[in-house]
This record gives sequence, structure tokens and C-alpha cells, in this order.
Amino acid sequence: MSDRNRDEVYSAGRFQKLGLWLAVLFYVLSVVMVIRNCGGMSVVFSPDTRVITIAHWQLEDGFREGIDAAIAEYEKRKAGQGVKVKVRQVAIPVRGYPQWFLTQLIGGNPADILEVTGSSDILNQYFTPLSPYIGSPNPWNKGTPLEKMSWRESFADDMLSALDTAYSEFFSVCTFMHTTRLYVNMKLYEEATGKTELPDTLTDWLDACRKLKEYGVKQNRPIIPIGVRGFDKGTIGQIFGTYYSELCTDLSDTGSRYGYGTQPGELFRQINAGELSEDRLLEPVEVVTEVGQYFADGFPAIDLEQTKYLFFAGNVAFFIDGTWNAFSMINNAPFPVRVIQIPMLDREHRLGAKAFGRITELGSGIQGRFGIPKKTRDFELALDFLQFLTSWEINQLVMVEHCKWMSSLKEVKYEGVMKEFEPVTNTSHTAVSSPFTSIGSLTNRLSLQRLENSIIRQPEDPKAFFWNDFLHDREQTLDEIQEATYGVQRNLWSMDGTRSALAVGVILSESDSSEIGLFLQRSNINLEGIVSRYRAVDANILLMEELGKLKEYGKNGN
Amino acid sequence: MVNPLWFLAVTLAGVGVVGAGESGANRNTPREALKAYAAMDYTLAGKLAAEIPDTPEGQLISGLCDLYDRSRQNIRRGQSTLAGIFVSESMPLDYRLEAGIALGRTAQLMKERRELYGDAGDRYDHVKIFERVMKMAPGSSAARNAFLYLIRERLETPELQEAAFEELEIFIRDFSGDSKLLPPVHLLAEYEYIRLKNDYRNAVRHLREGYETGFANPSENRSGLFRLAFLYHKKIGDKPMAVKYYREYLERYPYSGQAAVAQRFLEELGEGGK
Repeated sequence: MSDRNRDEVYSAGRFQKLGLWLAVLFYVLSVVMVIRNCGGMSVVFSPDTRVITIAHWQLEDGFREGIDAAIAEYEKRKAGQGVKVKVRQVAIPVRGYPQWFLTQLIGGNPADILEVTGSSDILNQYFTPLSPYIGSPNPWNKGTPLEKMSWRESFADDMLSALDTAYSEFFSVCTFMHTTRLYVNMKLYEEATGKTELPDTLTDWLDACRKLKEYGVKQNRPIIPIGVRGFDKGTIGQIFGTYYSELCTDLSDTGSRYGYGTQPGELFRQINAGELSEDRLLEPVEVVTEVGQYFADGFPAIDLEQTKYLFFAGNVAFFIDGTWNAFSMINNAPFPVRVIQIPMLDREHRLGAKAFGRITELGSGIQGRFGIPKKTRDFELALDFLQFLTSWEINQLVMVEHCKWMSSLKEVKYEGVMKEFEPVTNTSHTAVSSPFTSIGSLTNRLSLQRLENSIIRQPEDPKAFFWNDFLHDREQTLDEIQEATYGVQRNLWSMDGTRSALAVGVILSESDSSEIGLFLQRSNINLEGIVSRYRAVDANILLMEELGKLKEYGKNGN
Repeated sequence: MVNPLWFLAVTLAGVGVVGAGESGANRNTPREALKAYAAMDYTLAGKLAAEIPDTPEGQLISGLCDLYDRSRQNIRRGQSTLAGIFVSESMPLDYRLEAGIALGRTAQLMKERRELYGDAGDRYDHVKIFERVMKMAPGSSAARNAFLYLIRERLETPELQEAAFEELEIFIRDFSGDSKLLPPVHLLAEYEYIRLKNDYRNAVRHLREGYETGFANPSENRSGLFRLAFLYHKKIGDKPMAVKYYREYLERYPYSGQAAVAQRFLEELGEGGK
């Protein structure tokens, strides 16, 4: 053998050895991953250990740590009952979650408890109906203030946020609650205004914003008094909604023939009949246009992440967002941050005399739905852990102690900064939806765009500008209402499918079983839902008629 | 070396086991098909029904899947199958009722959307089908459903309206079945009395009966109770009843957003919420 050949053989042998080592390495790695995915060594070497997985998209500070703490406590308590349990947690970023979620469900081997997203059809197809379980007390609430309540009653909204009206079923339960608040950069606020007391009223807020703007000019700093999520118009919508409710909540007494609340068609009918001035609906436009003067130049192009960046950089004084970001906003900012409610319209403001003050937030903002897929490996354990997670003590451990989020349950007390997050309760007025933003998603988007234009252009009469532009888009609005009506009619066919399935369920059940009671109850929910669809169709017909009759600003009524 | 006959034997044994399993499954297929359909698993229900085409269950589930399984909808075939079941006296009554309701309701919905279905819905007279269902099983949930679908249509027709309100009252008065089936009918009656006649007294009477029996949807039960108090208060001016139901609302739903409003209205009525 020549030297050259010998070298080649030697070299090839070296590569073969490397290949062998790589193969061994990958084998070991695979074994480790399999063991890890099975729940760790304790599970592999203890085959009687029951393993379940919980998956979600909440990557905010504290959530995963909170779930870990709940898991540790659960495993300990189950071990105390003589049951070996291992719970795994999987967190997936929200952007990829819907795809991952669907893949898991379609693949047939999903996590045992999943944070729920997607349509009613997906929930119905893949998730276990929970209605048989919500009427009995949550066993993990023993010895707590919720002990005597059914699982459903233990939730602050009696589980209404979790009801899927299309299928008359509860496929999930809610785990937390949020409100919208104003985060304040105290260093900047104090420097600019010379005050430590925070604004509680719109007049004080606008005054502080003016001072912040002047301070920026004086210091030659790009100070932004109010940081907004301009790109998705989220903040504009929040401000408009807040002040619309404060100015128009009384319309709930007269805005519907059928009870308390408002219907857009009825409001427009009253305007056409001269019973209501369009000004009433348009005054909040003036407020938003005024507040909008203190947004950043070019705010329509700024998204949430950029606004957060600008806030942390110390250039934004007030930032409006949900309480889900509170923990990171307070802990990660290099300056003191305080949280306040959006300032309310007050008597000193020219529109304040007509305002009703703060609006109650009770029963709203309950979210974080988790359900159990039909293909779970251990339904009994998954249900038990879901009940554990939504028990009074553990839900507070996860949400309040770790995340600084509010619980979805009743009888929870908050302390410190979290008191600022609590829903407003000391008022007797409820939120009311504006017809401009509640007709449909396209109409809402056009209305927010109109508000944005009003802020940028600062027209002499924002009300006339907004109203006439609203009428200019009337055809699109009518199309959207017509499409929504077709949607309701399509939905009636699907609802009949549900009715039919429930009827077959009744046929199958023993006449005295609890199962038949549940099927009959769901049949009633289905039929009650059909009545509400009739109402929706009639409301849309009235809305189309009355919308068609509206005239230019100042020319409506008698 | 392994004898090839062993492979054959093992394969045959395997086939035998699978075959035995299948024949075992077949024995329960009618029930399994119904179960899958009740769980709205149309794929499985349709597959199982196709295995038993000559049984009543196979025909019923096939027909229903043809109507409601959007992934392989065949309305004409489904309606035809269900019509066959509905008129056949040899079929079990429950199956005939369900076939009748599904057939009548889909025909009715098709007629309401002529821009989409043309005159395809006219193949079946849904009014006659619903009336026959009500005669076949008075007091049943099928009869209640048939009535609700039918009465809404009659109330929508101006020349039938007065008679329809009378019919509505008679149906509720003479209903021989479980009164728990009636709240959805009361809910419709409440709504239509206001919409078509501005008659708040009759509307509130029905809402009260529905609420006292109990709406199944917890959201409807809650909003129904508030509406009851509100209509007594603002539309009828019956203070004692308004106070009664506002108080009941505060007691039952102290955590809801409208609890604060109930409190305010009680104060307005001079009751101070206590």
C-alpha cells in the first residue's frame, strides 16, 4: 500500500470513528429528549406516574413561574393522596401559537390542557364539553370563601365569558382578568409639571400634557406626552370608548325598546325622528380630537413595541395599555412608574357638565381560557388540574402573587399597586357602545381611521367632520350590515345542526339519566340562542332602514 | 430459517383477530353512529352510518350528515332520505320526529334565502311537516321546536299576526309536556309583543314566566332578570315588582356590571337598595 493510500485509509478511519461518536451522541441526546418529553427520569423509572401537559402562549413575566409553582404544589398534594403525578408546562410564543395549537389538535396527540383560541367549530370538534362538571363545587375550593359555590358560580362573571353561544356549551374556563390603565413615567412627569399628584380628571390630564410638551421644547427633547399604539389604532379606540361611555351612558335607559342598553338602529331612529341630537353621539369625537394633540408626531405608524421602547427610553409620560404588561412596565423601567385610571371627564371641561363620571368595570375583561382536548391521555387528571388551577388559593398564587394579574374568581382581595388594577366599582353607570364602532369590524376600522384623521387635521368642527365622513362611507356600512345578516342566517343552519345532534343525544340517553338533563338544557340554550338571532336580524333590518335616512350634520330631525 | 408457512399462519390469525374485532364493532355500529353524531363528529358518524345503510340508524345519520356536515353537504339527498324516514310508519317515532324537524327546518331556512337557494326549498312544505310533528308528539321537545319555528314565521306575516298571537297563547296554555321546555317560547313571545305591538304588559308576563321556570343559558337568565325589573320600572310603572326583581338581581349577581345600575334604580325608586 502506498503512503498516499495509507493516509487515505487512516483519514477515512478517523471519519468513521467520528461518525460513530456522532451516532452515539445523537442516540444519547435522543434518549435524553425522550425521557424529558415523557416527564423526566422519575416518570420513566416509575411507570405508575400519571403525566399531563399544560400549554399556553403567556410569556409575560411571572406567568410561567406561577404555573410552575402551581404544578409543584399540585404534585405535592396529589402525592399526599397517594397519586404520583407529573405536570409539564409548554409555553409557545403567541405569533406561532394558533398554528401550533391546530397542529397539536389535528395530529391527535395534543397537550392535555390547552389555552384556547380559534373558532367555535374548532372548539366543538376538538374540546371536551365541560357543562357536566360546572354545576358542582370545585373540590379544591374546600375551606375557602368559594366552598359553597358551584365551579361556575366561583368565577367573577359566573363563567359567562367562557360560554360558546354557537354550540351552547362551555369548552373552557377563564383564568385571569385585565383592565386598561395609564402607566406614568413619574420622573418625567415630576420634572415637567413640578407636581407629584397625578391627574384624576381630563382637565388636569390635558394641563399636564401641555406642560410636558412645553418642557420638551424647552429642554430640546422629543417628549411625547401620551404614548399610543397608533398602528392598530388600539389606544384611540380605548380613549373613544371610555369617553363615549362617560358621556352617553344614560342612553342605555332609552336606547332600546326591549330593555336596558342601546341599539344603533334605535339611536338612529331617534335622530331621524328628532328625539335625539346627533351631537350626543359626537361629543366624544371632540374629546378624542383634543386629547390627540398630545400624541407623538407620526403616531399612526407607531406600534405597541415601539411605544414601549419609547416609554422605557424615558420620552413618553403617559402610556395606555392593559394590565397584562403592568409587571414588566413597573419592574423593567429605569424610573419609577405609577398606574392610574384613565382620567375622567370633569365639570371644569366644557363637555364635563354632560358627563356621568366613571363607568363600572365589574364583570368585564375576564379572559385566559383553558380547555381539555377530547384526545387527552388522562381526562380525569386534566380536569382535576384545571379545577386546581382555578381554585381560590392556587389561582391567586399564580395570577396575583407571580404575575401581578387579577384573578378570574370571586372574593379575591388585592393589595399595593394591584389595587389600581381592580375594576372600577364605585359608580352606578355601565359602559355603552357607540354605533360608530359597534356595527361591525369594517365600520369600526373606518371610524377609528376617521378619528385619526380628525386628530391629524384638527378640523374646526370635529363633530361635523366625523358625521359627514361617516355618511360618506354609508354604502360600505350598509354592505357590512347586510353581510352580517347573511352571517346570522348561515349561523341558523349551523345552530340547527347543533339542535339535531342534541336531539339524537336525547334519543340515546336513558330517560332518567343526568345525561338527558344536560342534553335538554343545551337544547334550550340552543333555542334561546335562535331567538337572540331573530332579534339580531330584526335589529339589522331596522339599522339599515334608519341609516339610509340619516342626513348631513345639523340637518337631521324635525 | 423461518418457515414461510409461519408467516401465512400469523397473517391469517391476524386477519381473524381483526375480523373478529370488526364483527364485534358491527354489532354496536347503530349505537356508535348515533353517539358519534350526538358528539358532532360527522366524519365518524357518516362512516359508521355508511356501514349500516339498511338500518334506521344508518339512514337517519346519513340523512342528517348530508344536511349538516359542511365538508360533504348534499342537501337534496339528505332531505330526500329524511323525508323517507319521516313518512315511514315502520320507523321508530323518535327518528321520525328528528327527521321531520330537520327536513322542515332546512326547507324553511332555504325559503328564507331564495337569493342563494332559489326555489330548491319549495320541494317540501315545511308548514305541513311542522304541523304533523306537533300532532305526532304533542308536549315533546320536537313539538316545541316545530311550534317556535312556525310561529315566528306567522308573526312575520301581517295578515296572520293577530291569529298567531292567539295561537301562541293557546300553545303555551295547553302544552302537555314538561314546562321546562317552554322558556324559549316565552322569550320569543316577550320579544314579539314588544316588537309588533308595543305591548309591555304581555311581554313582561311572558318574560316573568320564562324567568321563573328558568332560562337555560346563564347569560339569558341574568339579562332576563334585569330586563324584568327594568320593564316593570320604566315601561309599566309597577314599583313593587320592579323593586322585587332589582333586589333579586342584586342578591343573585352582585358581581355583574349591572348590579350598580340596579342599585341606582332602587335609589331612584326610593328604596335605597336595602
